Amino acid sequence: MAEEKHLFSKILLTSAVCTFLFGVFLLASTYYFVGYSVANSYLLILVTLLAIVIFFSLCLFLIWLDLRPLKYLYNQIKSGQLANKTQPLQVHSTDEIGFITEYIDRLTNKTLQPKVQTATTPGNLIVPVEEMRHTLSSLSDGVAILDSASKIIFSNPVFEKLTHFSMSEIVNKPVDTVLRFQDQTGHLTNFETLYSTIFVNLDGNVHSGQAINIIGKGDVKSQVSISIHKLASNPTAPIYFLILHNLTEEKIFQQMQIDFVSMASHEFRTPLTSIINYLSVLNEEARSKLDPSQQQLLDRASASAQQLSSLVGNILNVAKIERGSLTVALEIVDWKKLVLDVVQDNKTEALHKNITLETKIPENDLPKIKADPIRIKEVLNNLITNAITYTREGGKIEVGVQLTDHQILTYVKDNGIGISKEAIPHLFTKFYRAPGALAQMYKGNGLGLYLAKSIIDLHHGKIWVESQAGNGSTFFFTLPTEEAFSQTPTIVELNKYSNIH
Amino acid sequence: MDNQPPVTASTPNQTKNIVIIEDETFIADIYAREFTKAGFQVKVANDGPSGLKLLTEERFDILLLDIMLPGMHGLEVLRQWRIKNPSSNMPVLLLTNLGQDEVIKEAFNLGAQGYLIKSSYTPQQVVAEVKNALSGQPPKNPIPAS
Repeated sequence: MAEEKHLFSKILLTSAVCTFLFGVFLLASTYYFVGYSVANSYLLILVTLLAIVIFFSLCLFLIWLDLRPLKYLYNQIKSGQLANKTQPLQVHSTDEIGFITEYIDRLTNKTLQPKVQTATTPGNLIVPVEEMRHTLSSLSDGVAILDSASKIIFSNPVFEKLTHFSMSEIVNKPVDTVLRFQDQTGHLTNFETLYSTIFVNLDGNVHSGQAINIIGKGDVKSQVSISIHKLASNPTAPIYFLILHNLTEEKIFQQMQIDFVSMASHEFRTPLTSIINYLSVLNEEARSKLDPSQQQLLDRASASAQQLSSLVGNILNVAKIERGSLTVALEIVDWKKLVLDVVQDNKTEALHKNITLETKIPENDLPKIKADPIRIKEVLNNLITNAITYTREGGKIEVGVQLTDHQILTYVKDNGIGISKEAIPHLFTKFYRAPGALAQMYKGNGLGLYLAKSIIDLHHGKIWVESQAGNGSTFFFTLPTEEAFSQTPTIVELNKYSNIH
Repeated sequence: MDNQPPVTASTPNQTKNIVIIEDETFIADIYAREFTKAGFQVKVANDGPSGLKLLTEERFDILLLDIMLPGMHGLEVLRQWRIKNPSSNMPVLLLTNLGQDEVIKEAFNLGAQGYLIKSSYTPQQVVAEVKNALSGQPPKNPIPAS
């Protein structure tokens, strides 16, 4: 550092000049007061020069002593050690240099306590500065911080609301002594298991998005999506951030949506039934008086009204599934007749597209099955309608029935556009539409197969699909025979909300 | 409609009297048209109390009864009529919407024979079902097993 060298040399020069002038002054005074003859003595000159040297050396030593910390700082900065140091600077000085050293220490040494307000909680976490606390407290999700022994050392108001505890009731207590976690299967688990087993398949330190129930004060249960963030800056004492996202409120909101759609659909249904019925009467009474083009208008109006009616019916059924109130009224059903009836209902539509609609049903009698004829007709109808929709003109559809071990297998096989491998796992999901179906503007609302699966589930059956893009699709479903059905526990729930008309 | 003979399944050739209690006037109107066309004598009531009044004042061969009615619930109409006519064998068919299973069960306890889902039946099918019920055949939608 050029300035420092300059500083040293300046001090050196000044001291030397001062000392020299002091010596000259001393010598001159002696001549003046004592006389030239005495002053001419060599001894006097020698003593004066000696005094000058001693004085000068003493000066230099004292200056060096005071400037030594400056030299040390200079070396630290120059060698680059200042940025990586782990110890405070070795300067013990109370003057200006000491002040500057302490200031540099504060700027560079992170291990030192900052001279700003901190709060230390019983769990020994240096809780973030007040701003951090405010930030956590104002989040809309519940947040708690646990120390390495899973003691709660901080919780925000939303966390307290979700668990019904106040912070003073839970702080410094192991989380498992105040809260219980219940996974989706209803099993109770502790924090450690939750962290290590439920989230084991996820990488890194952030585990998020598991839906669980958290049971707090007074056994009040809240459904939350839980995320756990492990902060392991000190590997022997990691801390955990628990973030709870309230799903109960989301569910209430979803329920409101469903209720609204359900109510609206219900309101559509009555006028729609009138339209369909009037069209049906008109068709019967006036068809013969209409010319073919007018008859076509009437047919199109009827078909559109029927389409809307089935959409409204599907929406109402989905609303019921969401409420858990979809029911089936089981009775003994002549399966062969039912299948033939549904196929017959779809003959006209198939004929319009020049599609062959065939059946392959065993000649001999089938065992009795228990089913809800209206609901199961919806399933079969949905599958056949889909097959007609996704099969090109001139194609072929086969509806078959086979008897297997204690169950009746029914299938709808087409040689249509098929389903891509990627789409198959999602087919029975609500509102799912295969990308190809969307791109090619096929009609549909993504509810039919979801409903079909729900209805087949209620019948203790199974539904699946085998398909290849471009090579047609076959939808299968099984229904247990009456004998097999009566041996399985009933899952048909009575409709608590059946007064919604 | 005075002096109606008692309803039995063995009188298929006589003009049948039907009462339709349905608050949706268009639906009631369509059914009334179809039944008139099919040779029925038709009376319509658009709310619960006037329906019950009709049932008390006149005799009918068959009743088509909606459930959600203004003034008085369809089940209440049935209950009050049943109290006054405990031994009547007049067939009762409910006009329902899907999902009214509990109501349907209760109605069967009060002597209803079957139910028709309005949105799934054409007027012609409703007439066919009524004729079925009058001829003593089992209804298409009988009481669900409880």
